[in-house]
Amino acid sequence: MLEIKNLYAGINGVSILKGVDLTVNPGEVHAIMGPNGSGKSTLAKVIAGHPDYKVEQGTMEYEVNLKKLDLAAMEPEIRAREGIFLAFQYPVEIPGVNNSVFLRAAFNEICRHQGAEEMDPIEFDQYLRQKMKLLEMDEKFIDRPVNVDFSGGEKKRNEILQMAILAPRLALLDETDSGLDVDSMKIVANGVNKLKSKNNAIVLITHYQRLLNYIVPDFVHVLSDGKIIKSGGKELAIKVETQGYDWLI
Amino acid sequence: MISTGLKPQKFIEQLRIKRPHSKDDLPPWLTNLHEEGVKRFSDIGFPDPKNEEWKFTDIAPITEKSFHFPDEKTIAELRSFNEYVDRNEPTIVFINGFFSARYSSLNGLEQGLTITNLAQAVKDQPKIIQSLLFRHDLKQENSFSALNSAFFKDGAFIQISDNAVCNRLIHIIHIVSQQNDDTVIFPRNLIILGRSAQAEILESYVSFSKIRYFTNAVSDVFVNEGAKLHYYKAQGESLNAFHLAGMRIAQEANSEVNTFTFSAGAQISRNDLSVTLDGEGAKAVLNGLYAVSGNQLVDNHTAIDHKPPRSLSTQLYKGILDGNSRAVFNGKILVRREAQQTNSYQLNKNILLSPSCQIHTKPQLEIFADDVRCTHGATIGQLNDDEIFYLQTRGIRKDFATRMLLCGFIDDVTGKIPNVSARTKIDELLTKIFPALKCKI
Repeated sequence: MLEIKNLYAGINGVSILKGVDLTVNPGEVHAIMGPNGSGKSTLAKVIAGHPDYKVEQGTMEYEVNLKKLDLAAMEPEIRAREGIFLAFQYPVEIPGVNNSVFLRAAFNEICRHQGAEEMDPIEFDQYLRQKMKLLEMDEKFIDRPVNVDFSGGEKKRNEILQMAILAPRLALLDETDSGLDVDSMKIVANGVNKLKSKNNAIVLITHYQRLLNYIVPDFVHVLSDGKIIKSGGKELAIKVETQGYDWLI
Repeated sequence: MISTGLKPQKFIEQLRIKRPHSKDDLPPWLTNLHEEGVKRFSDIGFPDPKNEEWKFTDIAPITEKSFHFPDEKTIAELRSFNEYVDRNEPTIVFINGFFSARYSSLNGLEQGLTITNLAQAVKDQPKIIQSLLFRHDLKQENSFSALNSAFFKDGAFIQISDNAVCNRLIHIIHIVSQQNDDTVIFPRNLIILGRSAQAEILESYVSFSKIRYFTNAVSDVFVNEGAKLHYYKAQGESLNAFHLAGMRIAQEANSEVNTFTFSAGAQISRNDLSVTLDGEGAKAVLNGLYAVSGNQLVDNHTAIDHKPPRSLSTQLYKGILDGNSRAVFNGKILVRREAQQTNSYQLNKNILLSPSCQIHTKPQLEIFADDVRCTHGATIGQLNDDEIFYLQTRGIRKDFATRMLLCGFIDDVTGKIPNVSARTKIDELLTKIFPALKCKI
């Protein structure tokens, strides 16, 4: 699904990723851990296409529906329409833009691109309410401006709601667990688990092993100074949790 | 302030030669008023850039020209006009300054509602019109309201009698249609709401052409005790036009006025909106939106005079600027010594879409009472790249994302328009001139 080879990328002329190799197949859950500043969030942003980050070297090949796509050559919205989703570490507040209007606009853009039928407001409203139940979200969020005056936890839930609505092939969750209390984390993790299938893949970026108790990864990678220095199974996350990163670096 | 740089005499003389009506047609008091206007304008002349009130608004492109009165009375762009007008609503139309009975819809008006053209009202109810027109001290008028007093010929006269409620939107349209460049119109509108009367009025200035002309308008609005008015002003003039307008609102006790001032057209435009809160418990809510691009200049000057105790004013003006455009917002709030327990809020927010546009924003508070609450604020910003990226990662195209954000930005102004018909018309007018505000999803 995603094959990243020898990826170098940076911002303002400073390299942050220095030769990342990562292969993600459908049905897999990958966790990326690593110390602060190791480039975890940058990797997510580069895959999603943040314009501030420049790819300096290497390739990102994304395979979907038997098409092989060169991600670096695609606008962020095209990546999204091809099924890549980034749940933000710090979701952006958008005053004046109603949550359901925004979600329907996004949903229909993606449908149009994929040749699926668009939904009218009434159909979409039902679809939205059903997905909100999955995340135990209050209906008041339907008509509120996107993320405005949402608590930290509500914002994170709203991210996963968007993931549920847009049904991506490859979901990148950037520290979705940060700022969540245990109960909220269980709800979010439960939502993510329900969205998991053999056709899609999830990449979790996290500092802590805690989330991985709820969303169990098939692979754990440790990123340090822009490179993946160690890959393993879920036991690697437990080892990092108890021993830190020093033994790896 | 007396300016010396520009020559008002020449400007006036050119117009006087071709005065559209002979003095004999008019009652002496009206001729007298015009003469007073000429005198006042000759005395003070055009404001020059040293005038604090006009510091950022250079009107040389206007004063350098020689204008003449139009003579065409037809609409060349009928299709656009018909799209804009709803003939099921009370509508009074002026084409190139001339009242048009043909395009107006003034039959079957609500009980207690009078809509006519001012020239007719002068004949029908001279005493009332005379007293209203002289309500403002001519010796205090600024340059352009004096100029309007000197030359106005017609405009809308709207009277809503005591306790009358008009549920339909009343539409005043001043349209300038295809003709030679450099004509000038001087609309004068007079609106009076009786005690506890209620109305919603839209005043439109439109042209569906690219011609150059000058609109110098004045609207006087009198709102009696307990009356409630929503007043929308939509300025969608030709992009080559000049629009300098004054609106003066006088409010009695417990009255409520909500104004919405929209500016998108004209090369140079200015709104001088002054509100006098003359009775206890009067409330004024002033909202505004300007969206300009290219080399446009838009200037909004508001002035609120809190006279009695316990009055309230709030202002929210938002602006979007692109290209090399410039905007000015100056919000003056005067709280007199007697005006204890005044509440007054003012906020001006701007988004600059290009590095070469400019906004000059200034609050101007003069407070003489000690028990008041006044706040003001101004922001100038750009569209946030992170917000755009966020929307893009949800599959939304960059230009669509930009539009969504801009529409979100103006939503707390446009969303406050309670009248659907007014909102639709204003939306049509704005998006035609400034397509980035097209928000329909």
